[in-house]
Amino acid sequence: MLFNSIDFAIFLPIVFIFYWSLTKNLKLQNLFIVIASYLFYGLWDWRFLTLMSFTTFFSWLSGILMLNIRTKETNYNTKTKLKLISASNIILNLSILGFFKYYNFFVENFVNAFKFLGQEINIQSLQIILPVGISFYTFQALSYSIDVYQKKIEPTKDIVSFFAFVSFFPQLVAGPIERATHLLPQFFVKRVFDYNKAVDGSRQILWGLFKKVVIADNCAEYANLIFNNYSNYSGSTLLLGSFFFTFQIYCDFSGYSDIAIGTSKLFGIDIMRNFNFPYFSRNIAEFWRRWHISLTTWFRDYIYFPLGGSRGSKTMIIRNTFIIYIVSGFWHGANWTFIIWGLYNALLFIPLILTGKNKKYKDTVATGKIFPTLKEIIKIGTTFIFIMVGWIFFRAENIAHAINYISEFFSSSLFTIPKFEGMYKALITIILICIFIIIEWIGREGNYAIEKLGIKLKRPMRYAIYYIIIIAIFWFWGNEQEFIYFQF
Amino acid sequence: MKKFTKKIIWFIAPFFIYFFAIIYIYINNSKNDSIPAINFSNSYSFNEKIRFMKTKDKTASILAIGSSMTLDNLDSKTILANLNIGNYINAASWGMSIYNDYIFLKSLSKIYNIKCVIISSNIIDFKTPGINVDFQFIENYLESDNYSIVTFEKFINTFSPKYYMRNFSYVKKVRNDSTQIEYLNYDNFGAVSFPKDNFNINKKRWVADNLDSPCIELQYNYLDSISNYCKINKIELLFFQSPYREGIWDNFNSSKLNKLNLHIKRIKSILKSDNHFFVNSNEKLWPDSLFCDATHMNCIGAQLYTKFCFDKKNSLIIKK
Repeated sequence: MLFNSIDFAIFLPIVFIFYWSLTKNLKLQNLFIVIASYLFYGLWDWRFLTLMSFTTFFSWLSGILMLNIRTKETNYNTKTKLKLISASNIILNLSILGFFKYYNFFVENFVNAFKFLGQEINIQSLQIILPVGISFYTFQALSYSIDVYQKKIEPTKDIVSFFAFVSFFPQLVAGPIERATHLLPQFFVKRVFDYNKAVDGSRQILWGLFKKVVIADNCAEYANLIFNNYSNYSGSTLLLGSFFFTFQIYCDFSGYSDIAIGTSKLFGIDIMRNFNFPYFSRNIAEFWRRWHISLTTWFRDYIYFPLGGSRGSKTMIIRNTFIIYIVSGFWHGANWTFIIWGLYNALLFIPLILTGKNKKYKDTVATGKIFPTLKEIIKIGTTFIFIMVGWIFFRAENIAHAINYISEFFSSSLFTIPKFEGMYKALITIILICIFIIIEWIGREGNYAIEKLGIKLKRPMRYAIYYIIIIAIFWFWGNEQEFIYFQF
Repeated sequence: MKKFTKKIIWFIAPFFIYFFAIIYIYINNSKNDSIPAINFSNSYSFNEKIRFMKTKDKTASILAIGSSMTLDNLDSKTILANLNIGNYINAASWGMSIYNDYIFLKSLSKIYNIKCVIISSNIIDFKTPGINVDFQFIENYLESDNYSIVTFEKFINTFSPKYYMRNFSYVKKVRNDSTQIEYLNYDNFGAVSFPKDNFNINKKRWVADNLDSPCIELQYNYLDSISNYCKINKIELLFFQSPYREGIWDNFNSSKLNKLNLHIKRIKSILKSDNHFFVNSNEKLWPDSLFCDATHMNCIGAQLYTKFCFDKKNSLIIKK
């Protein structure tokens, strides 16, 4: 079920009303969340419900086993047993993820590698359907098992709450990837309807829909056209193509996150922030603190820190940075383009480590000011261009596509006037992007761009803005496009 | 919670009018001539054709599919006179590529009991990727009644006010102005006949031979797929190569002629492998007076061209 579909517009109010009519019985309310979430997921493909319940059940079971060992045994074998249980759960979950997501990639590369060495081997690739959201809920379930092992959280015996934690429908298929330490305890306590929170959630849903339907889907039309026919276009048109994709991916993914966070608020549940105005970053390190925060911090906590983080020598920090970015790229998909994209970002990061600037800019740019300084504009602009080039690898079908695109991009035709079918219509999209940037800039100190609208503006003005946003959403409705991050 | 629910309801109340408008458009789409066709694709011509097909019963066993070469250049009466089996429908529309034809044929096979498929084509059908169509939506729409929830759900999810606003005035033109190339007022079988006189000829279209850009290799594979599909499903496939007007043909240089001949040779060999029938109408010259532009014929041209193709077919049967 897509957030930007009529199905969800019917599903959400029904679930909302039933959910709040069950406030007297917490267990029943949690069970209702599980049923609604499984229905939400099952409407895509019911066959994968068993897979998700299998992952959830074994992660829950690993917690129970660890709890039993901790309470019953105190001998020297305890730690080894705990390690074994946690590792088994990690291997099991990663094997499922690996099979569905990476099997064909490894088979094809294995076959090609042997071919290169002059050996023909015959391993068949399989027609595997990638279950929607598998990377997201697997990582969420994994975080629980690791946190229990590391004693960051007490294992839960409440299986219903645990199923609700893994399958909670607003963030099930594309995140934010929640931590057990943050989300799970919220299912143990009674939720009370909070009017202000619900209004805030509705406002965030509205803004998320605007980003998705008005900006992302419009940008997608031109980004797809230019990327799919790149050989026919000049460098300047290709530049415009990657510009459109840069905003498409941001508004698509952060729009989804806004709808997910807003929807959770309607149910009295807080989920973590996923984006913090990343395109206003002054260097690549700041960008990665502001982009897909739930995944970045997941990798930081469960891979980067265990590898030694930034405590060792510079060589070790650089090694760890490369590992993190390559793994992050690979998480996005079984394609070399994602690995190169990860590598590219690592290469942009290294100079900051060497100069010790990677921890600079933890505040919001131009805090309390209307305009940034010229220096800040240059830094934001430079970072934006580097990110935009990186997205070409992310968007390309394969490495050859990306290289050809970039080489055409940096040709002399970069300095010509862009030309493509529907160029004048695309001007409307560019104007919309400019309006969007201004709104984001004004609201950059909030959790989302229009968060402070209720505080800053009087009711008639506020309502006028809401209606303009809604009319814009309806006007641009109809280009129904799936959210990019569903494929991951 | 009551306060919140109340506020939300009041807030969205004005949009109920909008939803009523959507429902009205959905229910009256095929009945009311001032309402544009539903947006199944990014081609208005295709959408209009689906609207037309919805109003017809699904008994046709002869189907013409393809681009405007099929839509405008095949004369329905001549076809019916030559093929004495069942009912006929021209399901063609502007901008269809061979790939579109293949997917559309497979979709229509689920709805119609097809015995014969006619494609009238020009090299341009092999040069464009075609139009973006949601064929699942079309299958649901053509098979269901006006009150199907599945179809309505799809309709509302793809409902674009932008599209309807743009096309409210456009439909008047395409449904009424027979002097324009956009004209889409179908005969009883779904074909369009351009008038012989007073047609508003576009100078650019009059000289466009579309031979400079390369063909998309995959389109030949899709033709092969159509050919195979028809063979497997015991469907007779008639493939007609649509002609250029004489003035264009006379000005072809050797490079252009080679391109066209190579294209025809490839089509012939694909169809021959599955024993399907092919007519190359460029074997003879077609006077400019039979055309509305370089490749689209007027009603007289369409009659003569269709007759020419079927005469070829009939003579082959006699020879056999």
